[in-house]
Amino acid sequence: MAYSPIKQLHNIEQEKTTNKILRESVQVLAFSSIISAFGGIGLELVREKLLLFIPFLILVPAMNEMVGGFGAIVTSRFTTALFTKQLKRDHIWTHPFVQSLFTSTMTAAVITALYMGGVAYLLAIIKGFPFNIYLFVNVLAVSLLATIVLVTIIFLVSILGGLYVHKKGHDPDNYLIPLATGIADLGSMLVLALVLLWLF
Amino acid sequence: MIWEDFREMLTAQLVSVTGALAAGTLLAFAVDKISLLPGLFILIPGFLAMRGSIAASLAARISKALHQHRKSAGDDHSAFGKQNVHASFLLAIATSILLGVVAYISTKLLFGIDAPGILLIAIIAAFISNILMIPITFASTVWLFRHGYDPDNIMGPYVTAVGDLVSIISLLTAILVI
Repeated sequence: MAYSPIKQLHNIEQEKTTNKILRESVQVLAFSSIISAFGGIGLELVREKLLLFIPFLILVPAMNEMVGGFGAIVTSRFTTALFTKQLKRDHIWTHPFVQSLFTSTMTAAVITALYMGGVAYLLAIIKGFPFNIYLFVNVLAVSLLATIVLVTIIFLVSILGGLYVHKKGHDPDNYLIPLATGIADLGSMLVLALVLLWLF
Repeated sequence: MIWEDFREMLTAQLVSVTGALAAGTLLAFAVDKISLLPGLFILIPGFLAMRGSIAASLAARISKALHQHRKSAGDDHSAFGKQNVHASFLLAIATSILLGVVAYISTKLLFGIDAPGILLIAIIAAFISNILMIPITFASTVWLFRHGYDPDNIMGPYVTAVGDLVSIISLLTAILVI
């Protein structure tokens, strides 16, 4: 029989594990990809500025990565604590677990943001971008402010969403992690675009 | 406990952000190529997120199966291993087509530019990044497990750091091909 890629693909789709993974993942992936693409529209609006101010271009993938990463961490830790009954639903905001999760997340986020901004500018200098103290401070400020605002939003979404999903009896990891990373992607790209429009 | 959590969180984030900064630097070195391609910035965030999600999920599934003593999971010729690789490949191609369509339509509607090349770039880049990332993810997960490490603690930041670099290299290669 002649080799047929279409037939081969059809056979692959019939495989049990393949089918299960495709069925469970495709909608969530499509949803989070579309949300991320909306963030990309914000970047496309300021493409000229991004191509001109190289440190911000270097920041794009890192910003995308970092806020989403914190979203996944907060969501998985909070929901694990909720489901293993380490946490009660009452007085959630004053619970020591939630307060220490917020403190450790925000401290790690601030350090990562400063590292990210500083290294992005250093790499831009290696690429031939001139050093300018005003611009350097702006890169650090953008990285820091965007991180603080977005990590706070992600924290609120993860806690409130976690409580809601827990009440409904669903597995939060299947809903909240894609939602948190989607919001983080969209938010970080939009904040970067807005700041570039505002500054330059 | 708080200090331990903080240390793990910070280390993982610094590793993944360093990979992402390297990816950003590659973008900076290809500014002349990027500037010729409208719609690319719409594609980039979704492409990076998709690549990371698929590779991280693949690593988590293989790791879970290895922990549950499904020894054949570590063999890429086993049915479980093969089907996981197939699923990851198909998911990446399907999501890339969707991202390419969204980037194409947005560029046309919002910016009035007809750039069908962006769709082709998304598909070619997904193909290249799959060929690199799926074997890297599979082999690294199995290697870590066989050497006594817990892949769950290491693969997340590792996959996102390597994934960003591979994704940007794939996108730039696709641009050169087009």
